[in-house]
Amino acid sequence: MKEGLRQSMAWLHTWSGLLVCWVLLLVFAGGSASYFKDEISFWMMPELHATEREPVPQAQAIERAVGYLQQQAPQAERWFITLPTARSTALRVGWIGAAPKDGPVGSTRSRFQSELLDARTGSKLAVRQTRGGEFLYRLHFDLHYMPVQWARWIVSLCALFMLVAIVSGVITHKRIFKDFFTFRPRKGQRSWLDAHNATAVLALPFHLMITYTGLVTLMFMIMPWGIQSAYRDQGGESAFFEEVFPSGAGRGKPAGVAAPLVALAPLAAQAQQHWQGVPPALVVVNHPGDAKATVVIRREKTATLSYLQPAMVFNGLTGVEQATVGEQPSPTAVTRGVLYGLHLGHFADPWLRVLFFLCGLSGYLMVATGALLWGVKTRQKQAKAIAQGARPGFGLRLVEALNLGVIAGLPIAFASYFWANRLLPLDLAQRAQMEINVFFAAWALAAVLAQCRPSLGMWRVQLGMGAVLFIGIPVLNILTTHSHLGVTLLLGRGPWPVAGFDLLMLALGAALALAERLLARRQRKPGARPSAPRAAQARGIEETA
Amino acid sequence: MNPFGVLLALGLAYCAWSALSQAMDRHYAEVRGRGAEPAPALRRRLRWLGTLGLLASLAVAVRMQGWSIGLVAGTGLLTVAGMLHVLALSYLPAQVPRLAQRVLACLPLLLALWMMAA
Amino acid sequence: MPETTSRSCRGPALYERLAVLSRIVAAVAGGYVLTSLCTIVAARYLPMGRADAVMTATMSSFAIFTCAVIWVFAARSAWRAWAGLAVPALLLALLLALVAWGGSVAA
Repeated sequence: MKEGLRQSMAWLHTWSGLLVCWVLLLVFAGGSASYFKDEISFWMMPELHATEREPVPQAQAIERAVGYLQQQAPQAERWFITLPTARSTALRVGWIGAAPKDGPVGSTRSRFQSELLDARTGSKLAVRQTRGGEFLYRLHFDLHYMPVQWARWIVSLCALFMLVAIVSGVITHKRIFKDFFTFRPRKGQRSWLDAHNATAVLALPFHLMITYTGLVTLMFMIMPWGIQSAYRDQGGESAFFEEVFPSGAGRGKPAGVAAPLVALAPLAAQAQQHWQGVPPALVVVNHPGDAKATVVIRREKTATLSYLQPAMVFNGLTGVEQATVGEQPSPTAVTRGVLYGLHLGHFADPWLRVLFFLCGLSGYLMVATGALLWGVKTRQKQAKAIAQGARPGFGLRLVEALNLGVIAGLPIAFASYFWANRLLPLDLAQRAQMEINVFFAAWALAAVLAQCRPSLGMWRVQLGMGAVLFIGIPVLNILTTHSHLGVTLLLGRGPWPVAGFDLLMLALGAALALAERLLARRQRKPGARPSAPRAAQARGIEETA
Repeated sequence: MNPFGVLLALGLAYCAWSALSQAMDRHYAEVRGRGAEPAPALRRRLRWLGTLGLLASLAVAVRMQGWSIGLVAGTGLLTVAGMLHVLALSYLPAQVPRLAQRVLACLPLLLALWMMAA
Repeated sequence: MPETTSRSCRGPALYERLAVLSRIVAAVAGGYVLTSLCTIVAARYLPMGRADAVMTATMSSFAIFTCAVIWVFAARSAWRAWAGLAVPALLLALLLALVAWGGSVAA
């Protein structure tokens, strides 16, 4: 371009950002919530709040799980036993049902089922059916209502655009050091730009990291050509994955001969001893009840950035140790493990989790202020024509409606999901999916209303609605459960994650209410300078202070 | 992480950002009035103190969580402290030096509490 | 970037739009192709174990793609943008072809 690097990068930044910003808002919202998905799931299962949370001995938990699985899914292709941890005290079992002998085999994903068990008794926990925080986690890369592959390609494309937007944004930001601390409220377009810069630059390490590492988690899907070409003559893709993920080993074909499964608890104890006291986290049994069964036990996470954990493979009949895998990963494997681990943030203690969450919210605000800035700038460009009676351009109308429907609509959707969790009848068929349908129905309503009337008044309505819904959640908790703030906080009985969740809902509701009030003030003084930038930054106050 | 350590690291970072912003003409003038500029010696001192403060904040984080996780956590703390300082500069510009001094005054106590709890 | 419509006759404006469109194609399609070629060559010839080379190449691919896109829009003309992608891509493709041809001759 003859105009110079900064201008061409400004154009690139605008378009690579604007075209995908609404998907990115969903990704940031779901992703930020994911840092607390276990706590969200716990809050969404109030039946668990009162249960004694004294840890059950590992051996007992494993035996109970095996007892249940042997009853429920004796012919399954694979069993999963997720042992309780500090963050997630439930015993979760899963299984991949045997492929039907005739008819389509279907993917392993479609044959997967899981249940929460009481670790003491081994019976199914009497909890309401809900996807809990897992839905919000999956939402940010599997989206919903579409094949998973499509969703991941869409999200990957948006992430690539975002990476380009970050780099072009840094290049085009002439005074990135001089403007480091600059935020001038109540100055219209300038304030939106300052807010966009602040939320972007102050958390730039996070944004760059989370975007790149997010791409790394999907890298074999996006860029499979390295595997394809390097392993073309030696077994192709499956050979690569077996080499890199050897704990997937032992999955081979079953013998078809029935044989009793070895006792698992001693194997777990043996593994724990091998790992110098670090307990196992996951037990996988391939082809239980078959002569060729194998048991793979994976170690719990330790305080390292890399998400890779070693595993031990045992013979399913005799219990003899067959292999230890992942004990000495190569530096490259560790690098990949670290990049993957940074994205998941599994190593984070509660404080660090809060930091990640705040940075994620900052990402949401960064994208939101960017999109709003474009709207404000474009409206100003068309101001003269609009004043003379012309309609706003198609692009401007579309962007303003989408901005409203997503930036203000997503909070409504999230809050509605939690409301549905408390209000839907416990014995409703497909209850978990219905909660999710409520999420999208609420969002759709907000989006449609936004399309009809993308006005300042509608912004107030939706922000206000979001505030009411969020603040209403702890209130709803009082009416529908015994683990509300009165008990958890005032009486100090905990559980603390539940109290923390209720408090966060209050904080988010207060931030939305503040934004609505600021817009109300601006509406009352029509000639005054727009103060809406304060709304965006005010949300920042509530969330960072 | 120990809450006192977190607050200590946040406080150190906040003071560091305050020093660094006050070393800039634009933000010094926001506090002291238009046209005011820090003297060259003061500017140098503020920049050095600010840099040291950032490093000290990171050091606290690394001490709490080791090098790899500590640097990640420390960067997050720098971000949050930075955002708090930007808000202070925007909405309470006249109070910025006093705020920084008050936070600085709390740091020795936080340091003692952190070391006792660790 | 052309946000103001040219007041002169439609010809130059159309030309500008085509130039932008061609850059977009270059960035997305050309960038992906060049990145894939880099990944393939790196996966095969990096001096480390095969799985490690594949992982390193794939992990780095997003940085390469981003650089390619930045190049396309920073280049002074759409022609230069394409050239900047096509030349390295052709060299890499040539390298792969030569090795394949050499391999088949030696076998």
